[in-house]
Amino acid sequence: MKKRVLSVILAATMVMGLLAGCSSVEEAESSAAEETTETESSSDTSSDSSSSSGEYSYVIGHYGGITGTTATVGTAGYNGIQLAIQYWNDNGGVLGGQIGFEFYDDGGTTEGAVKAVTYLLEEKNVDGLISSQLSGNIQATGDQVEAAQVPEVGTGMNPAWLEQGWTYLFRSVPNNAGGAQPLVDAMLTVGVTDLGAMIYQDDGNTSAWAYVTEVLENTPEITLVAEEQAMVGESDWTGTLTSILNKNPNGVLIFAQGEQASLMIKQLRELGYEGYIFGPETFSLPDIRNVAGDGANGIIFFAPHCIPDSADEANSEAEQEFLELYEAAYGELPASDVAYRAWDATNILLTAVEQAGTADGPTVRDTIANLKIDILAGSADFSAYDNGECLSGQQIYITHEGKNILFSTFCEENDPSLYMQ
Amino acid sequence: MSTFISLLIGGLVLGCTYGMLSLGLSLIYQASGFMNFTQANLLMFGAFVCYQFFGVWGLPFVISLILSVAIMFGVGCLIERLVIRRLVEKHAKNVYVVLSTIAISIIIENLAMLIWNSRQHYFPSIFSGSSSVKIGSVSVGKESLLCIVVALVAMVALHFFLNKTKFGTAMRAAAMNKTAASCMGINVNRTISMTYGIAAALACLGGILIAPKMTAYYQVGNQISMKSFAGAVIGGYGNIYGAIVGALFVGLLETFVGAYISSAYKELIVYGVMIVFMIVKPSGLFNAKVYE
Repeated sequence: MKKRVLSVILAATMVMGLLAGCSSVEEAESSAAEETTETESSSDTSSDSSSSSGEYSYVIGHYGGITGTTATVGTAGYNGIQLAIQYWNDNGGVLGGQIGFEFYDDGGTTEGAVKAVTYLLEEKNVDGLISSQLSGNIQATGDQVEAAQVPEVGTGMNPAWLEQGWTYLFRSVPNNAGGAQPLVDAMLTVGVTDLGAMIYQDDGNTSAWAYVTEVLENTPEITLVAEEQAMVGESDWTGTLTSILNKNPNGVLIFAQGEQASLMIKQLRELGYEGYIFGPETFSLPDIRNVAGDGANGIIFFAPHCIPDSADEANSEAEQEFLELYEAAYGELPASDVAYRAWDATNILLTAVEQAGTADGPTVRDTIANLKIDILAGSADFSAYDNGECLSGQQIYITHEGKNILFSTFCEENDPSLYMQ
Repeated sequence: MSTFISLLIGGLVLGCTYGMLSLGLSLIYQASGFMNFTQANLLMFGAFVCYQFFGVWGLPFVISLILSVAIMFGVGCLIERLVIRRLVEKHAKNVYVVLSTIAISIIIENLAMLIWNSRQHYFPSIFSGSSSVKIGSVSVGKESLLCIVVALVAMVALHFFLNKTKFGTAMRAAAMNKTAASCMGINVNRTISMTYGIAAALACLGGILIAPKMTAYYQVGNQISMKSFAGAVIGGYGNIYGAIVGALFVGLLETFVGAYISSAYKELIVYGVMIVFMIVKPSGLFNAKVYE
């Protein structure tokens, strides 16, 4: 009898796991990005990729976190790179051969990133690198990349890592310092006078917040009535958010990664706050609307890209083509705009290789430094900057009636103070 | 006053969640003498199982909850039967048993990531309509209230189960003295197995109750586990009533420190208090037997 009961429980658990596994296959497609987009090179999601760099005319290395606390975003970046390489390989590759791909999952940690870059440079001898979207990790590995003379196109938005004087590092997206002024302008437009702020204590968010505070210091119309920290690893912010609301702000700013921001917004709404919430580019993550539900309405954020609800709603033909390719490969639209950044980064790197006509690091580096190219983020011009940047400024978006729309469009069609409480 | 009520409810929700884990930790420690590191990831896995029934397959919430708790009860029993008991029968040192629970915990986490991927999964709202209710001038999430009510009911039910049923009495007897209990005809292995099952079921219940607030996410357990340990230690490790009170204390302390002192100090203060208890009053609030 005892064995029978145990057998039934075991069988039920296994069936449950199998059924759940089957039903989540479609979802898993987006997170793993394996067979459907596999390049002819190695595309292992682990560090022990078995391909040899010698089989390819150019090998791109990528470090990022498809596990860990930023896995959603990391997976989107990983998918974007794979998709771009597949696209290039389908169109003949580069330098007369196919493009290889090497990946190391750094788990979103700095020590993981250092290991990853060491592995990619020393074990896999990659020709070029696409970084993680975590700026702190790019900065931690910048010296290694510079010493190896391997060009790297980064997708992190913190300005700091391009202010180090490195010459082999470039960015495929405008930095987030450009979002501060437009965001504060939006606060003024909707009528915010008392602002409460909660800042997630990671490198990207604290530095992005520093740019906003600089702008706020020169904006006497807005008073910062509360500033609180959200520590890494927390998942409940009831006390902190209550403390902020206790100061009666008529606008709340949250700077956090998308995974945490979605929960913070939900908890803030549950505490009864119905006014505007301001945030950085991480708020363009579609999961924000999924998790926060109706509570996402009234969120204003800056971002270089904002993923529409369908490919048909794309802002340009290039974006539509990218989204259609992405959806065909992974069964859904990107979970994060980091997929856009990664796609752009790969195209920048490979276009430079093609123009340079060689995989030689210094030559490709010099080519990128003078490159002008239309990417999803806009008309990029590296020659206009002397530090690896190619674009500046950010768009301001608002979530209204469940959709992310341009804030300027919202203001034309609605009273800007619609969500003021 | 309204701020205080908001904080009180927020702290109770957190405390009840920690309490579900602390209870399991204390139950297992009392019954077997082992620390158990699987609880947090059983919480996470239980939340995912319920998400699968409720969020993906669309079963009614109550049915999903019952099925999930039942399955996780079975998983808890299986862990004891297939791993813990085998190690104990081979007279493995305690540290090996504890290490095996860490290994199982990592396996569960990876299994969840493989089945449901690494993304946050939106747990559908349990209640239709507005997500919050007004208590006076305070807005409180309906799911937060449900979390407190269900957790308290589960704790009271466990109290009656342990004290008013034959099986509960057998469990307590086996926990006190395994040899004597065995001589009295109590199936000690079965009671320990049941203890692991109950602990897993409690963790599952905790996971389900916080999932609407924190989503189903493969790392959600890690963020809660250390606080539940702190709760169990402060209450008195191994005392189930101490586990509840200690967990509620930690939840409230964390919330009020975040609100009235600074969010930057809440972790420091919570774990500082735990260290103080370990040094000054290691038996915790409920005088658990923690000395050799």
